[in-house]
Amino acid sequence: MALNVLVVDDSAVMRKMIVRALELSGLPVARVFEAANGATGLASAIEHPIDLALLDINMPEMNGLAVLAELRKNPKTSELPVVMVSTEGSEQRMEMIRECGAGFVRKPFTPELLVSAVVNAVGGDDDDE
Amino acid sequence: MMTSDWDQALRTALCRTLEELCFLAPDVDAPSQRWDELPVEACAKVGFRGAMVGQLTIRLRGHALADITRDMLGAAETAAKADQSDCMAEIANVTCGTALPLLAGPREVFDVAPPEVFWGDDAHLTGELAGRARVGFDSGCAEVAVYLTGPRQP
Repeated sequence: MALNVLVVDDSAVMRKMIVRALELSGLPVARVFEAANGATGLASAIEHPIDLALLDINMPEMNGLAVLAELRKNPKTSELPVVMVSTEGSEQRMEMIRECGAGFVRKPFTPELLVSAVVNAVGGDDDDE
Repeated sequence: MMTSDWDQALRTALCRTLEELCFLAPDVDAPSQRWDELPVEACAKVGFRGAMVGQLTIRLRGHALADITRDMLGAAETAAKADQSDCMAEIANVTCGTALPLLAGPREVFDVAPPEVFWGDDAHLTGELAGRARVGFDSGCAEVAVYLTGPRQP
């Protein structure tokens, strides 16, 4: 099944890098939705049929951890696979992310790392990649 | 940590960012006099608040930002100025995110402000210089520095 992916990052360059990594990965991507801040990203996740969300943490208006918490509270998005993509890598925040059932990729990332985290999040197996 | 340790940690963070984000080959051994002659193309600063408070700055010397941005995006055409600015912000953001755990330990949590980008050498910096490093690459060099305005780790 081709995935609808939501990419939320305040950096347009980083959104383009993430989308490019997904396009080059061979993963079946149907449509990519982009948002430049947490509030818009959250609204997009609720409005559109998203299969996977990739969230930055440090963003204006609403940070990625707050978006993740709201996604988990909403019955419509509580099970949505999420991968946090961020420079934030303190052990304390990693534990919080794991407790919320999300994956994590630290920036800077290789396309392989990102794809591996995406595959893990959507419950696939990337051994054949 | 002593300042020389901070310098080393900043050099490590900057090299990692240039290699993995910008796809550059950092050269820490190139003669630095060569770099002093290069104009500052852009600088960016990122404020952070946690176990210590301050700002990390990145200066890019030379005329490399358009090429770096194009390479990061995998684009064939010259990168737009807005993308170059965004790229500079991301270099600062990633360097800061990589450096802080090295400087303060892996469990410390920091609030990191959105990066500010300046064309030329125009960043207004405050605080005590706590560490700095400079790394060259093919067509220029990058300088990182941390200025502290709040408590520093022992």
